[in-house]
Amino acid sequence: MTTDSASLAGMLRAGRHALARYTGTLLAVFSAQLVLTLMVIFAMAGVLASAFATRPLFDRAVDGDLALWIPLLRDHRALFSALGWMGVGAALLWLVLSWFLGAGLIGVFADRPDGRAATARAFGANGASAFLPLLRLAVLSAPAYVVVALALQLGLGAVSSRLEYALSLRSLLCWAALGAAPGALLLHLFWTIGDFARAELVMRRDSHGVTVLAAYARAISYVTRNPRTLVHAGFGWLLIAAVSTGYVLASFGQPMVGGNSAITLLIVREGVALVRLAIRAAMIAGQVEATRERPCPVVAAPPRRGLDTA
Amino acid sequence: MTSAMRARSRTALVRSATLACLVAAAACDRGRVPREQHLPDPDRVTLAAKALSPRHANYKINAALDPARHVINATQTLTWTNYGESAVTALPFHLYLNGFKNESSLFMRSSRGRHRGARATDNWGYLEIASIRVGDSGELRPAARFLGPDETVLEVPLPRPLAPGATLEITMRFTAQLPEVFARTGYKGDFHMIGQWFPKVGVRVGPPGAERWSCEPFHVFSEFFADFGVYDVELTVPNTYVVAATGVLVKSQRDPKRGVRTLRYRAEDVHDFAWMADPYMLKLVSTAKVDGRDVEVRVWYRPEQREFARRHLAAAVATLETMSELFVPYPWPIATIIDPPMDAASGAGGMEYPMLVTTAGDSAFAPEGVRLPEFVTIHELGHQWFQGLLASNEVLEPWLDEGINQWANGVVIERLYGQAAGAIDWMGAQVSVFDLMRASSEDPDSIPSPIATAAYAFVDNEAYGAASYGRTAMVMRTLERLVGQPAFLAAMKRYAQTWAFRHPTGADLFTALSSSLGQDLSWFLGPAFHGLGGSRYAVRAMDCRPWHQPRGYFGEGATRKLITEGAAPKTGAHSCTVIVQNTGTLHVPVNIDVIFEDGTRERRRWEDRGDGAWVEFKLERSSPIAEVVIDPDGDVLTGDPLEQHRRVIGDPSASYRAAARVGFWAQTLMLLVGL
Repeated sequence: MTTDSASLAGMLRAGRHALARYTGTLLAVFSAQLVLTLMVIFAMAGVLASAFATRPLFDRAVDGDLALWIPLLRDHRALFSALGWMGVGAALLWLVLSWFLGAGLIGVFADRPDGRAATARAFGANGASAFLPLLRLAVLSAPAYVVVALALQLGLGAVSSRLEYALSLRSLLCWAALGAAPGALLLHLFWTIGDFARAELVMRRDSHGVTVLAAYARAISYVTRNPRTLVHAGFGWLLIAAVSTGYVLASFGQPMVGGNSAITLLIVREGVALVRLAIRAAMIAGQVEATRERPCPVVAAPPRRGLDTA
Repeated sequence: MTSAMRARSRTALVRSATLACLVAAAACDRGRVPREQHLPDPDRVTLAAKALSPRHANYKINAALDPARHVINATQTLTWTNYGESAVTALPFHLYLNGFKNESSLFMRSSRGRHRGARATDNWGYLEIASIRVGDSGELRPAARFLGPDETVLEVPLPRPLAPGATLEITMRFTAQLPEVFARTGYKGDFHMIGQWFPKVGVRVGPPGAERWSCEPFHVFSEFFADFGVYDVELTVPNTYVVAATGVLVKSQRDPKRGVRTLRYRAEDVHDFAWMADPYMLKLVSTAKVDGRDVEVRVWYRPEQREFARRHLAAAVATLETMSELFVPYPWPIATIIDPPMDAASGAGGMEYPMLVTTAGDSAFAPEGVRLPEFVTIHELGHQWFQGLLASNEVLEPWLDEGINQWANGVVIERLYGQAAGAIDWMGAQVSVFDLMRASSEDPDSIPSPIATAAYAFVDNEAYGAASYGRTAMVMRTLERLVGQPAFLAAMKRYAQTWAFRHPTGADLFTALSSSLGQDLSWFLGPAFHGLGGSRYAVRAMDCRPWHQPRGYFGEGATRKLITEGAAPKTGAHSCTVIVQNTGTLHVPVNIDVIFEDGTRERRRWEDRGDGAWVEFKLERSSPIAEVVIDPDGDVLTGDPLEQHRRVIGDPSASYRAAARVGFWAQTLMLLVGL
């Protein structure tokens, strides 16, 4: 392993420490996500109720009558399409919020402030100051996702007949995984690069004058030279996938009948969402730890502006 | 770690990943090599002791398949009897393979080179007749001419008119070039599914003394129509190929010098002959008990499809036994099901021939309990009755075999797998077969042709499929529920017994039903089969008011009296009105359940036979109305179910439950795109 950054164990440890120390900050970020999710749920429910509140067959469909979904989806295509776009819209809104929330989280993990007030100041200051650079970073890294899309298209296209003629779920998943592997690996690579560029931008933009382009270029070099960064992020994503799959398997065949069950399910789901967000935050904390130990850029830093969070 | 070590480490990582991909690819795939096949023994089954059908068109064919070129060279002799009461001067023959000859054929124009998701390729097919002779007459080929818009019907003038009751033998030598399969017949790789491959004579129709030929050009929506007869067919194929065919294998011999084998099949009382040749197919065998005798059931499959073959076999045995019990016993000794290779399934799968069908539905998305493979087998085997035995004209009345069969499939599936879970019984999810058929049916109002429409007259494939299959099945099910299943099944059984080995029409079916059921059903059958649209039931109004004695002024002059709220207080009862409408074109008597807030329920019936488009019910109860359900038992399947069940006060709880589920997955998306 290289000696220019933290070890894999160190990154994992940093994640665990960050979660233990800044649990409140994590809950605050989750609250933002929860509010956005609830807004989406209420909006969707309003739309659905306006169309189906007086139609008991919709209740039957929601409670598991699969055949009824065929006429429902066919006759109300525009409505269900609108619901889909509401979900996508919420995700995009969260992306924009993430430029603030992600930077805030990185700032807190990097600066390690003590006490609620200092933590809140560090969070707010970093989030506000890094918002626009992170927007620029998102724009800069967008072409990479076009490459990912092309790789996915090519990979899945190469195994399309295998997928079409698959006779078992095992075989289908086997070929799908094989076809998607190049695209997924590229996506993982670009996500990790983006994460490290973001961390360095937040941590060294003011102190070392790191520009968006420089941060991205340095992240490419750093991540490709340090495979453990990919292993660390991969471990995190696998954990998130495992939690999601576990929820799907546990909830399969459990109809959401009755008000109490629905509320219980909502709580369970948000619990799952919180666990996944915690894993993601731990990943970010590990990346902050690795960035902290990365060599600094050689360019002399201009005088630091704004709030000193060191 | 040094840079050299890092480089070695990265190289090792790349090598490991490549090796893992190769191992994974190898685990996902397996190759195969053709080998010489065991020569099959003749079938140990007995043919029918006497003719079951009129046997007007009897074929003797010698055919040899060249699988490398996908070509069949053959000679056939047709022995045909003029069963009409007028003389015949020419015989028209279907040359179906010419439908695949070029883009100008009616078949290719009407299909636009597509059929059930499969697409035509540049590997065209054709049927070329080199020679035609009748007895010792001279060569008739030059005098023969194509009829219609393409080369799928060839008329052969006879040397002399054939008198009623007379028989002739006409011999032809022909070459069949198979297309790459996209619509029932052709090859895919080494797999050859060979149907509609020989010149096939038309059918005499019309009143006695004024018969005419029914021999329509080959259109993408039209299937087939032919007379019953005996097929005596010798097939020569390479030794590496197995063959499955209509009929019974009566002789098999090998020619080691030429590396080929010749298999002779005899099929009696059938109206078509199809076969399959493939170097890799295996066979599963079982027995169905039909009317006290054994029917051998065979499923041919590629090794990788074994699990699905097992499911097809179980469904096939059960179908043969159930259909035999419901209608008439399966009359032949063997039933063969071909499960085409996966890359040929959309083109070759899902087709029926006498004694032999092709199935489909094998898929990763059809695990045990999702009964798509079973449904395809049940449907195609059902055609052994509705077209195989009751040989209706599929060109002019496609609904008479496809739709009636589809309804019968539903009945069979309910018997085999239960009413609630006939279509799907997987991981706790259950879907009834008729619910699924109804849900998948296109809105009747969107189909611009009645059910009773000739195949070639439908505007497009969607209209043809919706009217001929789904809508017909729904109408039949509605009729079954209307008159009661036992009576309806008995009537259909009588229809099948009366018309087996004949050519029934829609009118024959209607007459048989009305006669057996002892009632005039024209008020339903007419609009259902000959009219556009379906039923369109909806709750127009449901309203309750607290009930009290009438208030206001009553009487005149001195006797005029004012009744106020005090004199006529609310009694606690409610006076309710329910208005139900049917703005569709199909009218069927329906039950209407009114559910009250106290949980009680009252059933009313609307004898809707088209006398009016709406009905009003007045009800007085202690509790106001909560919901109104039109057709609570699902008897009428010809309209949209969503409009038939309404509640007075909206309940958004299901909307919240659904939104919460979608919201959670939106939250998952958030995690991927942000933070």
